[in-house]
Amino acid sequence: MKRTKWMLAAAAVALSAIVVSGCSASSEPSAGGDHVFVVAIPSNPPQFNLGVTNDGSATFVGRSIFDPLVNLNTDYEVVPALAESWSANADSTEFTLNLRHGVKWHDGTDFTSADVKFYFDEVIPIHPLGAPIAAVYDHTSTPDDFTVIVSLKSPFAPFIQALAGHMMLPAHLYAGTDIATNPANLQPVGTGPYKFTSFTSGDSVIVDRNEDYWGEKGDVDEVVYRVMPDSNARALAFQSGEVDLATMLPLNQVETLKSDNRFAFDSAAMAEHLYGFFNTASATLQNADVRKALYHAIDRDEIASKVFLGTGTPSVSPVPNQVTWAIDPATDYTTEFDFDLDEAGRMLDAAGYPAGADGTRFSMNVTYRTDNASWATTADLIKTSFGKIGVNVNLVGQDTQVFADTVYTQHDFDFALQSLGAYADPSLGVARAFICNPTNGSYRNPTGVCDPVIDGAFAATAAVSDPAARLAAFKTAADAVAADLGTAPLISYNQITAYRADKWNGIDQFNSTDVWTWGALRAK
Amino acid sequence: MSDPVNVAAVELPVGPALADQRPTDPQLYRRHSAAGEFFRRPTTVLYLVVLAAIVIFCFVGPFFSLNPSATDFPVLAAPNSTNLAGTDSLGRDLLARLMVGGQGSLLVGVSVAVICLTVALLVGGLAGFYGGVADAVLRRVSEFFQVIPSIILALVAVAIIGASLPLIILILGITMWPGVARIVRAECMRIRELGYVESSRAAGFSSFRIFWSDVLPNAFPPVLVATTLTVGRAILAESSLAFLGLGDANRPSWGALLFDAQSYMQTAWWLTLLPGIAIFIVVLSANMLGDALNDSLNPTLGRVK
Amino acid sequence: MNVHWLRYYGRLIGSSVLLIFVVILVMFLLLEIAPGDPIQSLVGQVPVTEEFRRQMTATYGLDRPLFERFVSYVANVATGNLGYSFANREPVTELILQRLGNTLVLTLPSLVISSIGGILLGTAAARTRSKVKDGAISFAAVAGFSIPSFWLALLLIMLFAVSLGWLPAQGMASYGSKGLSVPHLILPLIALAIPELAFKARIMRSTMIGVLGEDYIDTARSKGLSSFEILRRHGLLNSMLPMVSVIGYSLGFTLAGAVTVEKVFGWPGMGMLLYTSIQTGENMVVMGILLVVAITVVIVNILTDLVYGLVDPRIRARSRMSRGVNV
Repeated sequence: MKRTKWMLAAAAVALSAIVVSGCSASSEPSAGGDHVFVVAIPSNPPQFNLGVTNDGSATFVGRSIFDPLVNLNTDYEVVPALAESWSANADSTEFTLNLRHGVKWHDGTDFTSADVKFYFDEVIPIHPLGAPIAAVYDHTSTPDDFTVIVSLKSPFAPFIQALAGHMMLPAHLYAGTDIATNPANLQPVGTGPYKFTSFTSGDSVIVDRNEDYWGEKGDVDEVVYRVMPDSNARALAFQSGEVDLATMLPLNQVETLKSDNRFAFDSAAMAEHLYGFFNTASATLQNADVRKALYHAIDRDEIASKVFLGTGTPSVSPVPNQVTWAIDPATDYTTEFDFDLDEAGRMLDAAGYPAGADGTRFSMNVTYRTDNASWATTADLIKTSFGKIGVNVNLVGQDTQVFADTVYTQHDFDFALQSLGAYADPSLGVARAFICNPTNGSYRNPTGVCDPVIDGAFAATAAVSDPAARLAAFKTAADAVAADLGTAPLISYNQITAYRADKWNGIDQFNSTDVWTWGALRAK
Repeated sequence: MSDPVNVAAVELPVGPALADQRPTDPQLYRRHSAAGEFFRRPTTVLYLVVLAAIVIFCFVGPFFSLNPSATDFPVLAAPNSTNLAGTDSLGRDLLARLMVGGQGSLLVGVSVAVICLTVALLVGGLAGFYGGVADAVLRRVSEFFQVIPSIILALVAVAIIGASLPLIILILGITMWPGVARIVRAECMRIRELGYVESSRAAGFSSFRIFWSDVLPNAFPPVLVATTLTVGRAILAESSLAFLGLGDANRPSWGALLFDAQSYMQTAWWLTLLPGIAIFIVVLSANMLGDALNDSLNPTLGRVK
Repeated sequence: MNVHWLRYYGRLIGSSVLLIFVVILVMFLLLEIAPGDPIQSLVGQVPVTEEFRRQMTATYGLDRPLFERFVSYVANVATGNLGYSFANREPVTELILQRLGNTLVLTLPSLVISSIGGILLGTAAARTRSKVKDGAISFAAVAGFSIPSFWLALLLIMLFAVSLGWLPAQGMASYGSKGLSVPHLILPLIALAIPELAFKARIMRSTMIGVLGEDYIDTARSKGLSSFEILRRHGLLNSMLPMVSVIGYSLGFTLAGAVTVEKVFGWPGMGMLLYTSIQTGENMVVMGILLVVAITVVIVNILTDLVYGLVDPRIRARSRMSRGVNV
């Protein structure tokens, strides 16, 4: 009978579905040694060439495969890596680097001065953070295989510090090719402590220990980087023991997890700064007094305690609070712009924005990124606070890409929240939030403020190397920023890294790009 | 229409086995007794009371509640005598926020249903009664929305166009109306073949008049059922969007409260539990009400032994 | 088969291809207005240098006019090439196929469980003489699809993963291992299958009630067949047909409809890929996923139609009309 046949067919389909799902249900342990270390990374790495991306997840992976010429240690001191030693001429325009001997790329080729020269000539100009060096770079000469002399057109004091952010690439694979699309970007070959093994997009990256590594070798045989975009997912996986190390966890969960002595937490070395950017092209906000009044109306103590749960502090200057050597004690935005709603109201009255019959002075947008819940809650607190002085806030939460487009390209915002890292030196990571940005580059200053005084002050911070002179330069910059206040520094904080203290030792040795030192890692 | 509950819920093509169950005699709808039948059921009255209570809770409650945006309470306090539903991570009263959030959710549910109803009556009615171009257009559009699930389309559209409440309502309306329109179309097609429409035609009434006064009123009962169910679907869809972070930040809905609650699952159960229960009760009540409405309007589908 | 049959399916396939074309066109235009900068997504949190931008724009032909890009996209789709993902540095087709596998591992068992469970529950509700039992099943069914599935997922995690610690909450397998482990599958499967099962039970109940009221059932009863025999021979078979539509439809839906559940459980499937691609402005991937879903639904529709036709030509003629296909 036809119907019986049909029933059989249906049963067969159902069965095959079960079989198919059953087949894929096999769990195969991955190859590798005894000590597997699992890291939860917050996004799918676009690729691993740290010369053309500084994506956070790519950096985590890339730091295990590649080496820089020099490293910064936890105290921000420069320590040798591929360069064993270095020297500079008196006016900081010529730097000599002596390279380590006997270092080999993972494919067996020798690492030489040709690789370094290639990097300065070809990679620095397109490197996302290359601009400060590219602006002063002149040429590189290589007297022998292990000596590199870099000549600059003008003085650049933090040159050696800046090198800590640059991972050397193999010239023999990249020279003469399109660096951004080279196949090696997805099959990276470095000199680092781990060799690339496999990458499953959206799922995981696996690297295995480089037994020929020139430096100290850690206990970890294999590292598995698991892609986990959801911060709550990372926290859950960390708590259940599925990962050994997780970054960028929701702060409140960190608080909860702290009571468990299996876990340890470390603040990353790099200082992060949450900024509020005023759009000075807006009719209301072009008035500096209005901007200052609104800065007075932000309860930064409340944000620090409720959003950052005490891991952040209200910023006292353009430079994040952690970078103490660059902050003059006389600079303190928390007293100069203390939280004072009455004062804010008086300033707005004086600026010509009295409260209307319904108590409203004006309305404005607060724009923020939705990739991290902290920005939304910060914006929410600002909305409540501004509401109390009669400023109506319309919240605009946007995906990272859209945010970059509306804020930097379209300038369609009033007040935008954005967090930027300070990098190895505030002249690299902090200045970009304040100085003129004529090309509307993303992750810089979107306020439209183009003040020669501010620009000059920040340029001066990079042109000298004497600490006292640099401190004075930063003081000048801080005063210039306070006078105009296009960019309002809000909170200084560090990213928190959570790891399994019951299984591993030595994860507390962080370098400047927020990555721990593999060689120091020991299994318990 | 046999069971608009199912059809509305997934925009399912009408199955052939169901096709012949619809009553051919309009009297079978017995609209006078339908109301009686509807209100005689104790469960129906229960769901109506529940819905009414929630509407009062959301729209009248705020006059008596604490300030939903005040951040002066202790953070993450469990339900207690001051904050009956506890507080969130910024120290805001959850009960007050549930009320305000419910306004957003209910507004979405009702507005989307109204949009769907309006467009569906227009397009579905034209397609069912006149056929021709209108019918062809409706079929193509329905097919389009059938191959791309409406929630996925809404997800992409909201992400691109923007997550403000009016836009979300508009986008959900646009993606959800074809389901209702197909029911209107089927009803109008059925009714236009009936005897009394023939008599109206014979009496020389214009086809617009026949459509307006004979066809639409008779097509209305099953459409009403589908509309009721659309309220629930729209609330669910909006909460999914908000949960994925695509809600209106200025008008928090229950879904948005759940979005915020995610990182407090372990420390503050009330933040996850209560908004979810609120969504569940409203959607359940709307669905049950649609069910009851369907049963009382369409007694042929009663129990068969 | 005969010419009529061929012509019918020829037209069905023709109109399906046209439909896919329309889907591409609409989505292409929609994504065109999407803000965002693919080149920035390549770089991350730092300024893009002008030189790099020029290089990338030229490499990927981003500066070509809309129409030209559309035509080349359609031509590529015809050959199975869905474009290139900037953020993943991988052809979109490969990326989606990879994730499709992960989603199917979740979706197929859910489909099987919810279909069998739905048929059993629905039939039980339709058959029972107990008003209480029917009422309870019917209520449970409505309740089942009134629960937001992502909330159900959160509750499951709170209970079984966080409080009791019985089951893992994230991903497809434990660390250090690849593939899929069954404990990881359980919670997402429950969250996904319950609303589906409830929904199918509802359809099954109302269909079965309708079928059991038909004349031929009375005839069978008068012939003295036991009620189980009647159910097996006539009831189930006849109510299966609408279920085929429902099952076919729900497959297409859950392929990408699992987005909230996949997000809650960190399941690296297609729904998750859609979500992250929307966030990172990976338009080619979004477009590719929508196309894969649309094509799947269209194919399943055609297969459903074939099944109908095989079972009963009379039903095929009817189904064609009711499904709004050109006759």
